[in-house]
Amino acid sequence: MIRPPTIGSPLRDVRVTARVGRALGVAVGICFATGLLSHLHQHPPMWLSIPPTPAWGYRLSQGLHVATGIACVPLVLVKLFSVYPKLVQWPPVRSVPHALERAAIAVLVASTLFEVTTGLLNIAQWYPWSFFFPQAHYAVAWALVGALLIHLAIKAPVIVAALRRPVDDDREGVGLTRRGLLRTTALATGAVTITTVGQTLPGLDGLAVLAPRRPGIGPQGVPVNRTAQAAGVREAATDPDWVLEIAGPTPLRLSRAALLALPQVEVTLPIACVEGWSAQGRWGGVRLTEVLTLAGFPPGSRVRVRSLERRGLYSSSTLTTAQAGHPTTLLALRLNGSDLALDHGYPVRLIAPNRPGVLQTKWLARVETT
Amino acid sequence: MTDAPDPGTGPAPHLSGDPIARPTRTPDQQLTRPIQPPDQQVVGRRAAIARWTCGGIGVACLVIAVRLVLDGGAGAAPRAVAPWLVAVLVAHDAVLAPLTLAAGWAATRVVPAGVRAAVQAWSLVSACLVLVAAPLVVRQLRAGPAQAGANPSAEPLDYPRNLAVTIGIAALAWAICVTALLMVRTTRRRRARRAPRSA
Repeated sequence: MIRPPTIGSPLRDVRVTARVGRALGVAVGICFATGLLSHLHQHPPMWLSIPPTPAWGYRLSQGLHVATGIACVPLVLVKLFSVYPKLVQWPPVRSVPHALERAAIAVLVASTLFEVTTGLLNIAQWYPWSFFFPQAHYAVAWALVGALLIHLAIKAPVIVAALRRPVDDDREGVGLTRRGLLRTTALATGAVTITTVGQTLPGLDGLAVLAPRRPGIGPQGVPVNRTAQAAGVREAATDPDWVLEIAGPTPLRLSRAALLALPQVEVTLPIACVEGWSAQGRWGGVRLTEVLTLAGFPPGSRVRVRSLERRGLYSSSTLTTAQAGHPTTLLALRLNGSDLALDHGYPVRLIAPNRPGVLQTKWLARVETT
Repeated sequence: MTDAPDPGTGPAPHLSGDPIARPTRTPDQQLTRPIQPPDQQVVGRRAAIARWTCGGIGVACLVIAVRLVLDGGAGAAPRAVAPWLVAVLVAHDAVLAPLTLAAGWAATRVVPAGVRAAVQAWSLVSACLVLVAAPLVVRQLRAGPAQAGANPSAEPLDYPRNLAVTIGIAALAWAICVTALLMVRTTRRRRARRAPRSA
């Protein structure tokens, strides 16, 4: 006989909820901390100067941000599965505190799903919305963390009690057991991680079959986020009359040949995109300090570089004193042993340690003080 | 002997770390002040302070979020963000979750009990892989691989194929595990039948 479906699965157990919730809580914490760091990189407040070391800092933190966000997919689904009957509880609201608690949960669930969904769409460079992704993703992250802390404060006794009780193997042989569900969740988290994390973790790139980028695929073996075509700089960047303007006390106008005539150095630095992929490159070019000294900039100047790209948020970027003065900060002319490809910022781009890819400004036109 | 209680037969000491000694409270009771013996009052007070602090920081974060949305201008305008917050909530609560329920219910009717756990586990892993790959797969199917040539390093792989292969490999691995498990069980059962039970 066919019976109507019931939501009373023994898998929906507070012990399962608490354990998956604990993992999800840790993941959200990592995402929030690394996301905040990325925000500070791009919107540095006056009181904070992000150091140029370690050079791989942003590569690690942003790689972790995206990988942890992807790992949240199974955790969120199982967490919500385990408490789904509570959505249709009756009566829906029993008291004012209960109403507030449910409101906080609504904010928590909506903001969590929003962050994971918009994050996944953003790394696929698909923007089917009218808001500006970084700003909305950042604002909703605060709502997520706020609602999560309120949720934890309310549920603390239940969570503590549930985590103390061991998870048993129920209903052996009929379907997934509670332990089985926890193991499967771990397995699913592993599966989505192993098929994507190679976009930033060296050695696993061959397994990154579902990652939007593959380190090694791109001009000169390095991926590109924004092409010269997309930035509308093809003509300006290949103009034979191009010069780099150094707007210092001694103004300079340097052609690519003039830049190549200055002392050349080679550094190995990662290009680490906000979208979570990263790749190491061997960059050749002139130290920024070399050019700043030639143009008579006083030591400790805050420097801004401007692109040939006229419009757009990332057409210029500012370096902290420490970043501008760092010996590995280059005006890069070459990548991996050959002239910089047009899509990598030909004729010259900025490359500096511990810095988001969007701030490694390409197709430079001008170096100035802020 | 005096009236000192016998440790063996007297009432069990009320240990704060023992979950069995304390009945689990319902969500209603969590919101009211719990009644605790005197020795737990200090711990209880500390826990209450920690919980109120945690909740207070949470409220402060919510205020920051609201200010970011209200002061942020067009980039995170409420009328742009709010429909998406509602849409993802509806997509999960009213579409994805009921579909999961229906699939689970169907599984109990259709899938043999012996392999049900394996099918459930494989379904969860596959569903997660599908969701993670969905934006890439949908975009590639809609645009076609030729048009993605504008930036050859963006989405350079054949994602529909890769997703199918990954899920296929998972199914194969599962099938091998289930077969092995069933064989082990059958062998054990046969041995148990042959061996006479000891009295």
